[in-house]
Amino acid sequence: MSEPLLQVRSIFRNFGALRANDDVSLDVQVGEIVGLIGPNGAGKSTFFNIIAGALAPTRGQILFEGRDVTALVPANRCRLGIARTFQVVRSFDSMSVIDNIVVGSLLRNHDARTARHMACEVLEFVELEARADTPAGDLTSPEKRRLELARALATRPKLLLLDEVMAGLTPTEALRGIALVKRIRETGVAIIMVEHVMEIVMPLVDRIVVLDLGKIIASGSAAEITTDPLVVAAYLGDSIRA
Amino acid sequence: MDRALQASRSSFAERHIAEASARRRRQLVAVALFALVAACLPLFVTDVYTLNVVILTLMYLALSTGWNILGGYCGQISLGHAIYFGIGAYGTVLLYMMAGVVPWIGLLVSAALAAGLALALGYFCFRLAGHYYTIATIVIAEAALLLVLNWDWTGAALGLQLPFGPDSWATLQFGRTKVPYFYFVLALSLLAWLTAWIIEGARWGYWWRAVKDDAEAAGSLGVNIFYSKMGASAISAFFTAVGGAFYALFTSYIDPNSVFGFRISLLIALPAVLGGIGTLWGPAIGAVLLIPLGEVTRSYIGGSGSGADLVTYGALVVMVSLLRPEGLVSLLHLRKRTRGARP
Ligand SMILES: Nc1ncnc2c1ncn2[C@@H]1O[C@H](COP(=O)(O)OP(=O)(O)OP(=O)(O)O)[C@@H](O)[C@H]1O
Ligand SMILES: [Mg+2]
Repeated sequence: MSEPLLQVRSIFRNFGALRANDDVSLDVQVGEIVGLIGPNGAGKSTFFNIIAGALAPTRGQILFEGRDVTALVPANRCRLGIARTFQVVRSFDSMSVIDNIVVGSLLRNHDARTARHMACEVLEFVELEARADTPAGDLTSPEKRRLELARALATRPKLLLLDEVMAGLTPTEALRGIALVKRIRETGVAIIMVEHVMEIVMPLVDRIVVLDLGKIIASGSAAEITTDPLVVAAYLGDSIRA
Repeated sequence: MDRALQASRSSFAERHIAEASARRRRQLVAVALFALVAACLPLFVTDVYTLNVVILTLMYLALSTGWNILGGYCGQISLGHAIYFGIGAYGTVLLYMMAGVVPWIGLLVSAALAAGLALALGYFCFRLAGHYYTIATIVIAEAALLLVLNWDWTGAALGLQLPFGPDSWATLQFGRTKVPYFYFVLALSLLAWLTAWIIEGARWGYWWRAVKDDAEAAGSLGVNIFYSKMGASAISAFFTAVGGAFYALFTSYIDPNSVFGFRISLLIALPAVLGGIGTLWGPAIGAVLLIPLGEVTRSYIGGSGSGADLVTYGALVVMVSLLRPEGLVSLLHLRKRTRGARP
């Protein structure tokens, strides 16, 4: 097998006495879609922040395309091809929707005009072109989610980290979101996606990884995961009981 | 079918880009018209006092436009720009008096010095967040004021008087008429505006605005936050220092309080805040309203010591921030906004 795109080796992250990530390791192949699930506070966002460079791990190592990126700041990791969205949406509210995306596309195009051209294409890809000149602050929250995705895509990533991009969407909007992620997958970008709703993750991903109390407790296909007694106890049990 | 889709796709991009460039061209046309009208002003304004006010207005317009590059686009609110203004003023005068360097060269050297200092200060201060950065700028500028007040070789508290020479564009000294100063400062304002215009359409402009709105999100898109702030800071300091040099030549007398004082820092920032921070026209609108008003209040109510003009500025800023927090320039967009708003 060829070298994995991303290799996360034995990551630990403590917040005071709390172990938010406890010996987490994960390989992601080129073009692979991995679903990351787990109960609230399991450490999923912490794990994302460590991969993206927003948080430093207490211990452990991250390799991207075989290169150690553990010491790089988020901007430099983005340059190498790691892009992300945030669990709590972050848009550049004083800028128009298209300008938000231009910020991303400028990473690969030094000339603002070509960057704008590319931003327009990405905008159409996420079906937001009708809102091109709207201030980002005026968007609805599902629109803001798509804008955030567009901005990340505009940096031409090889790996995309999606932190609950479907959260808070109505069923129709969620279907649109799923279709969008499928289209992204077709472009060959590898994705790690955190979602709470299993029905959303299952049809989209090649593999599911379950995090609980900072540890990976299971990893496998959707079918394997749903029957794993550990997972049922830690995660699915909650939703069945609820 | 596929080709039709392709065509419709690229047509959206093409149309959008055409619209965007048309918008930017219109801004250029507008500024050219303003400049033309302004260039004719000396034909009508013959009264020395009024011309003085016009010149000061244009000077603060240029200064505030320069301040806006850092404070408006990049979101780093400095209330210590007097330090760059003072360096421009003192640098140009000292170089002329001590080494005979002509003011044209002197002002460029001092402006480069100011930009260098901005980088050095930024290296430390841009690690501070938000309000702490602003406080640091105030403290540093006050420290500079105290230093200069106590330096004998800069004339200490007494200040410096430019030696009188014949009227000449080479030394930028004009004793008989103020009109050449008017054209100099008009050119400076245009240059500052044009720089802001170029930045708005360039890589840096997008990155700076992203840093201002959400630095962490900007970083996640590959934007180097620290370099962005440093770049904006250097350009901003450069223009501020050129403004200071102009002021020194224009008044031909400077002292520490009049160029390094907090009052200058305020007057540089206020027009942008009033007119619309982070906008292309905001500083200009703010300066055109604020500076004449301040000058008039000052001459009718009391001398420069009483602070009547500062009270007026304060009242205006409070009013604007209560009624139109985005600044006066947002009045221009009123129509567009309501059309675009959702029910
Ligand atoms: N900056 C921080 N300081 C202190 N504790 C933190 C910090 N960030 C996260 N934590 C804690 O670490 C644990 C893991 O948090 P994390 O946000 O990674 O969970 P999550 O799996 O993303 O949860 P959710 O599903 O609610 O988003 C939580 O207990 C959280 O309170
Ligand atoms: Mg989370």
